[in-house]
Amino acid sequence: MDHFVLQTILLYTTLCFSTYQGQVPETQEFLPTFLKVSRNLPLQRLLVEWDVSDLAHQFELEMVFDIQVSQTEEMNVVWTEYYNTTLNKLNKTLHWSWDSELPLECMSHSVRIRSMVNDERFSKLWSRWSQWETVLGLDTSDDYTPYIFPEDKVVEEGSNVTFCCIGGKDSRILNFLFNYTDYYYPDSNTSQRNMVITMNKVLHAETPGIPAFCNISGKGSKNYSATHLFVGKPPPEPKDLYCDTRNMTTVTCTWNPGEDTYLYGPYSTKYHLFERFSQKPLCYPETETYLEPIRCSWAIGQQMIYNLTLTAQNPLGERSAYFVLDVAHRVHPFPPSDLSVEDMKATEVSLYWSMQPKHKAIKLLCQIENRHPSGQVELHNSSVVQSNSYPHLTLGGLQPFTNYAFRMRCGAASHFWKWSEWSKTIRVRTNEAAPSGKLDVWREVTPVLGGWNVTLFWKPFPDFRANSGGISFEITWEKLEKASEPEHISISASQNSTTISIDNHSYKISMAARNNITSSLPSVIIISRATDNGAEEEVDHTDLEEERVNGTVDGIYISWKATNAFHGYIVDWCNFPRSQHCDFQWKRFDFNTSSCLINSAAFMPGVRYSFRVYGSLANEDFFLGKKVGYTKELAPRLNPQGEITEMTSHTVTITWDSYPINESQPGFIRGYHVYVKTMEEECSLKGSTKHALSDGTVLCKYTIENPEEKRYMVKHLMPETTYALAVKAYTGGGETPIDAYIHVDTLHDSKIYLPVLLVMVHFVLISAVCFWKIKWMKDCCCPEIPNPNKSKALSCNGLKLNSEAVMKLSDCIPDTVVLENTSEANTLQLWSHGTILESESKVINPSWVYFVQNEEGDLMCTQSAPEACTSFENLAYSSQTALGSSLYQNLWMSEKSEPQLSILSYQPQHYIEIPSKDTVTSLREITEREGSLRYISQMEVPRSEVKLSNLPHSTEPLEHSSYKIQTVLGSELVTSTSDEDNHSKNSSTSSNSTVLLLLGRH
Amino acid sequence: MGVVIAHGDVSRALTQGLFIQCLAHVNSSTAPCRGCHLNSLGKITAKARQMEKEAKELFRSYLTHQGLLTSELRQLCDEAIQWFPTENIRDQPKIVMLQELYRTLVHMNDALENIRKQQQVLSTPGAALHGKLESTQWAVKGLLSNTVCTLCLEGVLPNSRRTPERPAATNTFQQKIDGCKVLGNYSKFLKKLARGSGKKAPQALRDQRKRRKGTKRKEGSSRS
Repeated sequence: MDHFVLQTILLYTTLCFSTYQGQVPETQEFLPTFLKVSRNLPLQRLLVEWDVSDLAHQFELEMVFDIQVSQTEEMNVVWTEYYNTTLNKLNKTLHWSWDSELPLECMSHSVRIRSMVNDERFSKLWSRWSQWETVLGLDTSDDYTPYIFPEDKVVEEGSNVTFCCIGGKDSRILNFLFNYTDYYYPDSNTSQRNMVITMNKVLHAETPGIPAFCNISGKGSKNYSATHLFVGKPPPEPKDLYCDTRNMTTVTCTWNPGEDTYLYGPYSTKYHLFERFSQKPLCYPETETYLEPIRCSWAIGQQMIYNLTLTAQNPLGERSAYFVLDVAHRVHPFPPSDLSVEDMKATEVSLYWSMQPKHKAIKLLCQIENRHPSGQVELHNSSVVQSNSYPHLTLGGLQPFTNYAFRMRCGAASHFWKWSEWSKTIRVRTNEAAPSGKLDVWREVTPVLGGWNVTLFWKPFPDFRANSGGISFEITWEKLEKASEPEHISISASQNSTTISIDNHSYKISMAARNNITSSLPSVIIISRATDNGAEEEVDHTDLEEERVNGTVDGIYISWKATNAFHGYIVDWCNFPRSQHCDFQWKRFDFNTSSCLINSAAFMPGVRYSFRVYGSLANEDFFLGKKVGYTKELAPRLNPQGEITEMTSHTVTITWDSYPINESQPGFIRGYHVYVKTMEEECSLKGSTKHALSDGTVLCKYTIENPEEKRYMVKHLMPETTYALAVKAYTGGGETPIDAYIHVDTLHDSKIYLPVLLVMVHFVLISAVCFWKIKWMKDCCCPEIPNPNKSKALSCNGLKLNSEAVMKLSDCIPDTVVLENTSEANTLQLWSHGTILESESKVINPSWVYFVQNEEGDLMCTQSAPEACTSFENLAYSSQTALGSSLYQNLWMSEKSEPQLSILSYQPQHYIEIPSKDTVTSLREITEREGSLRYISQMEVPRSEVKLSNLPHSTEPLEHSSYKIQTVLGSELVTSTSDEDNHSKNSSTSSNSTVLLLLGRH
Repeated sequence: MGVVIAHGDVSRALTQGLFIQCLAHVNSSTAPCRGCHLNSLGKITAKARQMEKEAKELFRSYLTHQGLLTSELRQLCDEAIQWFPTENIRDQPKIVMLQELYRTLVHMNDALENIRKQQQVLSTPGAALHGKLESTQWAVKGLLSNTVCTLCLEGVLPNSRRTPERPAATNTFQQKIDGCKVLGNYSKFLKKLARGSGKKAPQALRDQRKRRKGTKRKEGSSRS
């Protein structure tokens, strides 16, 4: 306190003295003096020095300095800062610095300062400004050399960088090119000699060093200035740092540099490893690339514990890592050397090796790797050994005559750190021994004349080992029933099957493997004699019914009925059943297995595989069944070759007898599909289903589910129509698309045209005859003397009608007889039941005789109107006279589809064709019942007064039945005939028609 | 074949040592310079033809890799380098030509060494340009060896003028341009060297051609 009072007094005294000197105390100022400005260009830092009066220093005043920094000659203030300091009696010069973002060379920088005493005892007034103190930029020089700044600057990625281009005297900047492609141009307002531009958030380039290039025009010899900007990253922290010793002499530390800094050469990351206990740097490793690990080694000496600092440094910063290393805990031995094998045996070897370091023994634990030929690896650990010893290890449990590969590695037994690398591998083969295990033997028995051919197949059981190089197979067989000399053959190792022949006795076949040492235990199979069950199956098992089994992509599933009767089961098959060398396979199963999934890489879709199942009992095998199946059924490759074997107007029969359904097919043939393509768009055939093709065509499809049925009749077809037929077989894999059709045209329906043909033929014939012989006919049939007995027609034709052919009036007992003369009593009847008959009727009696039915229903012959009844007439005439126009009309209606018939004038043909079945049948019945009845009334006679039975009538045999049809016809009967009737009765008429047609042709 | 020379200044010392050894052999006996092919000039021509393509490829690769394909930057490489001969040295007398070739190759070897150093900062470590520069430098050393041999066979001491001091270190961009200039001039130099004389063939080449013609005639006569 006293001290402060003393100071105050002293200050006032000084001030009074100053007042005395002429200065006003309240305007007292400490003007900054000796202002000096300089540049630190590497740091781009402006250094400022100044002073104030000694008085201020003496009083150690707390002062504030207002510092202004301006750029360019126009004194644009770019920075203002208040600098607080307490003055010191010792250090009179004051310092202040300012880091410029713009390179200081780019333009002139000026600084001025004013001060203020920051003390309550003084009024807080700023002093006057000092004069501007300037450091000139290169833009003011008279030099003609162009510049660009900053030069080769290294910046961190993402920062902003300000460049300036300075042209020489009287030059101007044309443009600025950054990173090859980005052009910038100077503002027109600024000096053309100087261009300042800031690049924001710069990124690293693919090639280090981004060029910054200024185009300059001027007097100078060089019209450009350029530099590189190196953009990178600070060093990352070293990764995977570890140190160890391999020989207890030197320690090596290794680490990875981490991610790329994009800075190379002199700007790349530098490392140094510093030991803090000894305060010594250990090494300064060089880095080639950031991808390769960096190593640093030094001699251990006596120091075993190190306190290490690893520093990574580049122009953008540094990173350090600290760690303590105990060398004894970081021993990484060298790999063992001189690995060798001694005392080789069949199942045992002894391994010897040496280790390092020799000079400084450490305890090591070693590991031996034993690699089997199969690739299996076994690891064996040794006991702890000294590194300067020559240890060995005996390995047992090896397989005889087997190649083994041994190698080993070691690690520190105490404070294990890391295994050494593996030693060199040595390969050895153990010694030979007797074969172990047995052979798996199977057979296929084929009957031959007088015995069997037994083909033996063998393969090693999993536990079988040859244990030697030179191996052969010994086969011995002998009869079971009676003692005989065993037969023996030896087979080389390269074979796995052989065939022996035996007679019809039962045989025991033994097989063993033999090597250079001795033989293995034999495998035995028994082939029983033909009468035994075991051999019987060999004869005919192919004829046994095959059971179909299903297959999948995973294999074919086989099952059988397991019983206690067998010790095991065997399934055999061929991998390539279609090949001569079918690659015979078999598989054994234990007694409680009843199914298996057989699979093989050789199995192919569309191939039928056959599996035989055997039960095994005491070396004897019994056939149990045969299974066939596919892994996958395919559609048949071959199409049935269909043939049209029968055809009618409405049916077509197609056959494909030669189509195979055996194992050659890629699937089980399940049946067939018959496809019929009609001209119609839709399938309308009865009994078929629709089948649409991909192109929209609709086919009729018939399915035949029995593969043995190779014939099919397609029915309900239309006559004279074209059809396309195809037959496809289908399997579980479906069927192939239809690729070909058989085109067939159904026959025409002759029934439709037959009546027309008949009418036309008859008409033509009769007309021709009539016109040709009209005079003769007239003479013959209508003689002038109406005596039928003198008729030439009856005599010249050779036709002799017996007396019964002419009705005698005396035979009829009429109740009324009307006699009437007629000139047309002669008739000629030519047709009767399809046979051309030429006859002559002699009707002497011109009168009509009526048969009428009396009240009791009996027929009576009665006299009536001439049109009412006739029993004997020439139809050629009666058709015109008796039937009248109504007959024409009805016939025309019934045959209206054939209009030409309507003009027919000769009608008896219709009489032949039209009769109804019923009518004919009844007539036949009557005829048969009353075999002698020859003349039947054509019409019902409503008034019958004479019983027919009572009438005298002919009892002659039915020799003139041709008349019957003609006589039963009447106008009513014809009227009731329709088209349908014609069709339905074709059985009775067609034959007649056919005969007529044939005759007509002749 | 040529003798493999060590890097930089060491290589120069070695080539001179080799030459002295050659001279010693020539002087001490009639045996030719040890290890030198009698037809070393032919070897030089053949080698120059082979190197011409490589030099062209190296120059193109350098321009591409260093981003000097833009017109502003590309034209900077066209400037002539002082230590490359301005005229076709094949037009010079044989000894002069060999001396000029030797001098240029020594410069070139030195320049390539410098370019490779510069590329440590201007290229990524695995860049293909490093390999091409190294390959070219080995080729230059081989040609230098052949030249020394030819001079040796001619009984002439190589010009022992030292390489002029390189200008003070400039910025990396200028180094890049300098390297570009060197490689451009080198390519042109080899083009002239490989294609032979623009005016008249040197005596050695004329002799060589005569020998070849003579051989062909002999072959033709033996065939006939």
